[in-house]
Amino acid sequence: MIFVLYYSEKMIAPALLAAISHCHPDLPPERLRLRAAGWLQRELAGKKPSALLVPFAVSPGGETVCLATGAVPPPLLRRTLGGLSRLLGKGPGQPVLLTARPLPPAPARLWKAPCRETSAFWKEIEALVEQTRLQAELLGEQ
Amino acid sequence: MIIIFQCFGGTHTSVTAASIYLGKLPRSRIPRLEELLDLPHFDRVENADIGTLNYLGRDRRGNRVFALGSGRWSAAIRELLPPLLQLYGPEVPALALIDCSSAVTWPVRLGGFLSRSLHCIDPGRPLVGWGILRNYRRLLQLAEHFEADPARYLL
Repeated sequence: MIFVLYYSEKMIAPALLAAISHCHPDLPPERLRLRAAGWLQRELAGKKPSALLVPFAVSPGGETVCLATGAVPPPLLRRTLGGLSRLLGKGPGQPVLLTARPLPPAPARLWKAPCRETSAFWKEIEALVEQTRLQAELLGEQ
Repeated sequence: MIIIFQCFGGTHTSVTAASIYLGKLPRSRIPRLEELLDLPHFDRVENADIGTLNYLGRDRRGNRVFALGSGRWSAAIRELLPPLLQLYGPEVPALALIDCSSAVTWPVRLGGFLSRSLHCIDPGRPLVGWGILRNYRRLLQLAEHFEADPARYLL
């Protein structure tokens, strides 16, 4: 089993959008945004948790996609979680944790009308999700 | 059980407390400065490696013991670990996290900064060692407290 973790520092939106995009590769940005807004309303009800790590959904490739946020800088968290997952997931059939590369911060106008800033952000998210999907595919083959 | 001693850089107070716990440093006396500086992980983790788990050995019960530097984010890391463990389910080994940050004093901070951030090892390493030895009993207490009541430290 492969866990894919999308983590964004101090804000959940980039991780959430990446997780949705990973699970629904064909959704256009506008629908991704609507889904994200719905999830935030349903799961967090407007709250901003200081730290969160939850499973989100199973992707078409079979990975369990998780999203996380917290105050820890992404490279530091990646090293710690990577090390821990190697300890916890030893042995055949044990889960492997794939932590995605650091996500860009969400632009202030993310939830408003699209602009050049938001389209650049979407491009970054799409590229990062594709990189992560390919890495997961490779891990799945091993 | 996986045992992690945690502090700012993962190379001074955490390594000392873990070494006391593992029996690599004495409990009946304060060690000499050389004994401390001879520990292979003492003052040897680079700042860029903060967040990496460094394996220090196994305790008498066969548990693996690690040192971890978490910078200013010890508490924030701690918040994220229980949900990570839940993902892996109940079959994973228990995880104990001992935060040694409370034993970081000014000489340790200053010596650590000189040695690890500025790479001025000559004044930095002895200074941090001196600071640790002055606070050795506190670290001994931490190690013994964990040994006596490990359940309190489980995530």
